[in-house]
Amino acid sequence: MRKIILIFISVILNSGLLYGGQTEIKGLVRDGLSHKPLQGVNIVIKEGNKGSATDDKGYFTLHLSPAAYTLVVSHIGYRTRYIRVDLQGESQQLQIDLQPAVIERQQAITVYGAQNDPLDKNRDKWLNSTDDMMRRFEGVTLMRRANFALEPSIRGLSYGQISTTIDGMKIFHACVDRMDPATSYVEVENLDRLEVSKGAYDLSQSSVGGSLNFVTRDPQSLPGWSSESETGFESASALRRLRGELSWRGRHQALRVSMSLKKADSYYAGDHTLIARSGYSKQNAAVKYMISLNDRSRLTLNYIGDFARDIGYPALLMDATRTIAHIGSIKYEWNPALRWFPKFNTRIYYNQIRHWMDDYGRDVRQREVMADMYMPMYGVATTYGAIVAATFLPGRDSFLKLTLDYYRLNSFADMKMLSIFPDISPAYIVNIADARLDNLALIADYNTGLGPRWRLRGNLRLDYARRDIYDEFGKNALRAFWQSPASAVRGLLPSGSLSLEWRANERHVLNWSLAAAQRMPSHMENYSFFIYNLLDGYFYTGNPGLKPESSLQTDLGWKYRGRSLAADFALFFNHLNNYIAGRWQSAEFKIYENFSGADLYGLEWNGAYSRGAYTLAGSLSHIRGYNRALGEPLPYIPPLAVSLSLSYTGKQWWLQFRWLHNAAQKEVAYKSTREDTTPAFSRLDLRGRYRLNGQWELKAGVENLLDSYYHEHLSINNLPSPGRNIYLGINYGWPRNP
Amino acid sequence: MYMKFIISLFAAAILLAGCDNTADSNDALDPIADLTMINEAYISGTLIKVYADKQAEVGYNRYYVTLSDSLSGKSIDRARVVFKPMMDMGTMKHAAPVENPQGMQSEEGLFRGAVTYIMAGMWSMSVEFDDENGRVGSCNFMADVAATQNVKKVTGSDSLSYFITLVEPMTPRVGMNDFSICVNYKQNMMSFPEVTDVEVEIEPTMPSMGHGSPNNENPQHSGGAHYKGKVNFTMSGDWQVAVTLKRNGNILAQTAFDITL
Ligand SMILES: [Cu+2]
Repeated sequence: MRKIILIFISVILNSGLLYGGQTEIKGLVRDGLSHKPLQGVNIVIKEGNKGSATDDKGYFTLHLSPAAYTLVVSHIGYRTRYIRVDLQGESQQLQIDLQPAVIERQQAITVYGAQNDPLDKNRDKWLNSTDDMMRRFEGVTLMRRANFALEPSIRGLSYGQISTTIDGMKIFHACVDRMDPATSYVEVENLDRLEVSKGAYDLSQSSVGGSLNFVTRDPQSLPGWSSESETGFESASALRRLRGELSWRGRHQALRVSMSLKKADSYYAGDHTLIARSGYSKQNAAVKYMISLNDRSRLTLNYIGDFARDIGYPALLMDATRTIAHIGSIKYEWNPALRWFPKFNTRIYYNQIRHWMDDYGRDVRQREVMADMYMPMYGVATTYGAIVAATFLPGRDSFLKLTLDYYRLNSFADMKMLSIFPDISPAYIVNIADARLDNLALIADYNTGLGPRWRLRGNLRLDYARRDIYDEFGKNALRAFWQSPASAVRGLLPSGSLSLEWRANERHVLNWSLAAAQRMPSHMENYSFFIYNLLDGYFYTGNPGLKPESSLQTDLGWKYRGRSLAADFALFFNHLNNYIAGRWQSAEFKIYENFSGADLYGLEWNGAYSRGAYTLAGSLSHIRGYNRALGEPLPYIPPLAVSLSLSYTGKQWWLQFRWLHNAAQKEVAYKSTREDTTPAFSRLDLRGRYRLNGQWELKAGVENLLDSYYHEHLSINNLPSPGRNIYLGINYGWPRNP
Repeated sequence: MYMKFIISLFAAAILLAGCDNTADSNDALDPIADLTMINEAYISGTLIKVYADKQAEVGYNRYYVTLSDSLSGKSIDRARVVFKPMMDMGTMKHAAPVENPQGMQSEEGLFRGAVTYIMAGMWSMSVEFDDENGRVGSCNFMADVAATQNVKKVTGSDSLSYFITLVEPMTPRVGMNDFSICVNYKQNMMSFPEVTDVEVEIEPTMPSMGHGSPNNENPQHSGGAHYKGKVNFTMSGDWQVAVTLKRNGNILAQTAFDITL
């Protein structure tokens, strides 16, 4: 099994390998505990395109011109090692012992250990923001409410139906209008990778639609210092940004500090259309400190602070004046040094998100709803939790990860309504009446090889949820909307998934997955009060009587990895039962209710063809959603999206020309919402990077080259996307890693 | 008079002491504990006391009457009690809708009734009784009625004058509230009979915001002039509850109450 994977990886690697009058490095790679040779270990030269893999006796050979190199030695189930070698014309012999490491779930769901997978979305080439990163995943679509912190949707599902975490930590929004998705707290310089699970096949998080996990960067892996800083400008919003990071690793400790400053004015949509009040300013800082307690254990302290001010939300009724996020965790990792038990870790975490918004900057007299009123709102969400995980290797080709995941969310939000006329009394409501949610989950993730071609993965998850509200004022207001006065909710939710993978040969992999998953309603769906929904113009009320939303879904995937062509194809179907949506209650109010069923189905394709320095890549995604209870399409289903790009990767230059097209979306929830159809649009982007020397690098590009005026279907209130955006960035790194 | 009062209190104390163990429970449920005595009078051996639960105001005012033998202090539990409010406006006099205590029997020693003052100002009140001992008399006092917006006088589609009185909520809070009104019509200056046969519809709104609330329950007739339902105030602020009276599906009268919370 593993052999096939590794052959296939080395085929990819070897396609770029060059030979010529060069020095040889020979090496043996062994298991650090058993000292048995490891076959198929991936060896990559960090400075350049070369790589190799170990043979069945654990040996590898590389031919290199004399210079200093860093070898990146990686293998599934082992901690990656970085080895510095200085070649002075003589051949070198190396013996490398790899220590068993955590088997990250990301590796289990994507291609095994394939760090140089041409379709790996986490391979950096250009990234101006974390939003850019999310956009790379076909099937992930971003909901736009502003020019700030877009909210992801996976295969037509969003918010409570999917899970968004940072390093596995739950982070809830404080804004009742969802202005503050957790995606905004990991700035791009702090983003190591984004783990996306489309569908509920990875049950490390509770969802019926999939999950996004933002993995933050660790300090550098080599001893010593490094730093990187970048300053940039984007023309559409006159965005000025500055970011920097400093990384250090000593013998037993390591530290990484990064920060980002951004300030944007109102942006221009296409045809030079100014979108008034859409600017923002944002500061973000991240610190990660690691200390080895002994040979086998280490402690990691992590903090992210995110502070934003004066964020314009042109799509909404209000603007955010201030947001403050403090996100902290302590992680303890222990390697019991047993062949069958390589990893145990515990993370405890705490985060607090606070959010202030108001409409003091708006012309409230012209407003369709709540005219002549200012409505300052405040919200806070505090979450703390603990994740305890143990990884076992019960067999040579299998692993089992057991996780205990607990969190507690406390959330409160309120709103004042101040009339512009002095004789009208101020009004007050509590939007979230001090909701307290406890969630305890037990998760088992088992992954095993079944013979040389088959691989099986099974996930089981059991959630115990308990929640209630504690603010009496808000509770009384809510009770008037409910059938029964009870506000407490309890639930026990089992979920399970099964994936079967078949490697037909070294190029073709077929994957079939099936999941039956459930999710608790979000705290908004259970307890929110008087939340205006722009999509249908109703005030929404939470309902503690909701049943969990459940899903039965299946996914058929095909991966092809040829010498120069790579492609992924997926077909999926998702049937949701007890689908949660608003049900008409009176002329202005809707209450969350369960609907009998909704179906989503679609396909995704994504591929790349490389020839020399050129890569032609493309993607396609299409999805349909249907609410069977209401007999209409589901709202906010992204239309057919196609992209095509041509990239050139040279020694100093990297250039990309990309065409993006969205078909018109005519399937809208016309009965229950005011969702309207969206016309098709096309967009052209041109990007480039140029490396001046070892330290300096320039980035530049033009997004929406033709300055098209368009909005995406998932744009709230049809807020247009930015027009022509010329960006420029200067990056300085020391020491520069080529 | 003061002495007599003291004596009767003593008498009452002795009596209460006499019925030992029941005394405690009576004490705990003292029905007049939260009430204010408005006036008292001795008429041919009967002591009449009139209590109220608030300062007189335009709207629905509950009155509580106790009768006792002025010598023995013994409570009189069977009597007919009648309220007669009267406003003398110089050129003319008029009465107000009343709810006289029902039947002859007191409840927990109290004869309960109510007067709906339909106008602010000085009213003369006469509480007349005709008790089981054959004694007849009245207790008279002046009520200084404060102005409120709780009584709406509306001319109905049948050209009669209707008085729609807000009874509840008097202390509204955010959430679901009991909502009740009394409906009377003016037969003549002295008679305001109960209206028992109308359908009542309510609709609360916040005029400043242009929205209302769901789950309100239209008041249903609950005896006498009373109609009881539920109103949902979703937030604090200025509310207006529109009230529509219908008879056989046709609108009879409409009004609205302003309620701020
Ligand atoms: Cu907000």
